[in-house]
Amino acid sequence: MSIAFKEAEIIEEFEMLDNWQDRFQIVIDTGETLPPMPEERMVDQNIIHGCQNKVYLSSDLNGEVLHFYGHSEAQIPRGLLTLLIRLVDGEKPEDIVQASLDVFEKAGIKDNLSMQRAVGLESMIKRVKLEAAKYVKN
Amino acid sequence: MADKLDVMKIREDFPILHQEVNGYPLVYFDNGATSQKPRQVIEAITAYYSGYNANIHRGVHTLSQRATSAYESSREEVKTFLNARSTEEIIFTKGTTEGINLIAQTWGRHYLKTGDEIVVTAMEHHANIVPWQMICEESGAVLKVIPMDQNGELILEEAQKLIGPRTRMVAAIHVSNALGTINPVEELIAMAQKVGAMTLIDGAQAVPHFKVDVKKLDCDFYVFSAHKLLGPTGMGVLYGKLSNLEQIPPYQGGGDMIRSVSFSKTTYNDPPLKFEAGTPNIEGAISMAEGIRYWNSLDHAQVAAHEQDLLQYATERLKATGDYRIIGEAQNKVAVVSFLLNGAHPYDVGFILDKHGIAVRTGHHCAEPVMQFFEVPGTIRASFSFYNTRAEIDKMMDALAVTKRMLA
Ligand SMILES: Cc1ncc(COP(=O)(O)O)c(C=O)c1O
Repeated sequence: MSIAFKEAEIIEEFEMLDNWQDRFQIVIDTGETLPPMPEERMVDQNIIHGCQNKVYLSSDLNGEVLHFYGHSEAQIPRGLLTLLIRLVDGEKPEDIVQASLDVFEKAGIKDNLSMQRAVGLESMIKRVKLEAAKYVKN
Repeated sequence: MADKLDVMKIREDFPILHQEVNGYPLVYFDNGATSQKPRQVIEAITAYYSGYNANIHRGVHTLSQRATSAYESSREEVKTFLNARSTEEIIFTKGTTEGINLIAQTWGRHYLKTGDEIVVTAMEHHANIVPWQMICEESGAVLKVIPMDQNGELILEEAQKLIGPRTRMVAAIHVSNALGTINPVEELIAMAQKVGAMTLIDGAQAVPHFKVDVKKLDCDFYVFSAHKLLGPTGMGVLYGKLSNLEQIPPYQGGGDMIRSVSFSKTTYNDPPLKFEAGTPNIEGAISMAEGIRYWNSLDHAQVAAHEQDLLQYATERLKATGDYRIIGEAQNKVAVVSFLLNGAHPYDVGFILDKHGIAVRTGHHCAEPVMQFFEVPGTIRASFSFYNTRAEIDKMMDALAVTKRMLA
């Protein structure tokens, strides 16, 4: 499945909902599906700075594709992180680097993020790209 | 009814309160972070800039004299507000943080030696921890901490043990921003005086709620920020006994703080100007005084009764369901409730409350050691002002019920 395909799926899921409460309920519920991050990965260097609560992200190259691990104590950031990971997990580093990853805007979630900066969504996206960039030779 | 605070009338003075946020009428419960401003304060700033803006202490022209006299009469207002002995004891700063740093960097740097001890409490704001840590590192002095109990009250027997012959400074928070506790600073000051130590009281959260009398407290230094007391940001006060202010070296160098300058020798001005280098925050001082005048115009017994009613009501409602854990249950509290929704991260709760137009503070409130003590990642803090109402607390409780469902 390509990033674009998964993105379309997420957008479709959110488009049906017309109020913030339902959208965020999905975000929150999605967060519950994030697999637990292995303890040894929850180290300082994997903390994403710019989030008000502690958010962790790390990745492994698995053959040609990247596998992501994440954790957040708070549920809303965890949900956003889960959606982001769903988008890029199992994808090639160069595809991730090139992707726009603006699904949150397209799905109408970002409009509802008046605390966008506090959520650290931008920091999460940037961190995902940085993880992928580590494996891209130029 | 005459004996009750007329909250609806007061609210008319605060333009910002009359708006919708995210489609709901704003409920502003983040007064501990900064208070809202009455129109009198906002108008004072406009009046200054549109009527008599000029630099102070340096011109003979009329505008400069008007600005200077307004600036200096603000000092008079603050002097009366704190019941200081003279205006020389009132130093204008940019806030609580600068006031504490000023003392740490001047008095601290000059007098502290290896092995000297600075005593703070377990519930300090970072502003009353880090400046001391910095000067301790420089001087070899040591920071000691008076512990608190599970209610969020200081353990005075421990304070008694900690404050001893090596203590040079006791720097204590008057009212905890994270817990609402009103500390028995009178007793800490008495302990410090017995061993000849200096005292500094962080009054940032005290002056917005009750009358403070520095002469009665008999502390050496008292600091607060204007923006938490109906006034502007970037403005604050450091009170110091004149005898101390004369002894300690100046803070920053520049204009206004000097008597004469030559390349071979500079002599310093007297306090308070000795500590106010450069062009100060003129409109800040003027509008701070206006905020104090507004505060003075209120009946403080009515304000206290109203705020205590809000505190009690919010506490009761939060306790009624068993869904919340209140952090900080001291006997003596200002109108601040710090709490957690069981099973939820404070951050998520703050987010969903904001969606309902309710402004609360979430996080560690610049008091990480307090969060570490209670072993929580942070709290949700509703801090009330005299312009808040029970009806607003009801709205918060309704929004919390939705929050609970969403996060379950
Ligand atoms: C108790 C206390 N001390 C110090 C401060 C710092 O005040 P300011 O940021 O205005 O310097 C605050 C404000 O949050 C506070 O609540």
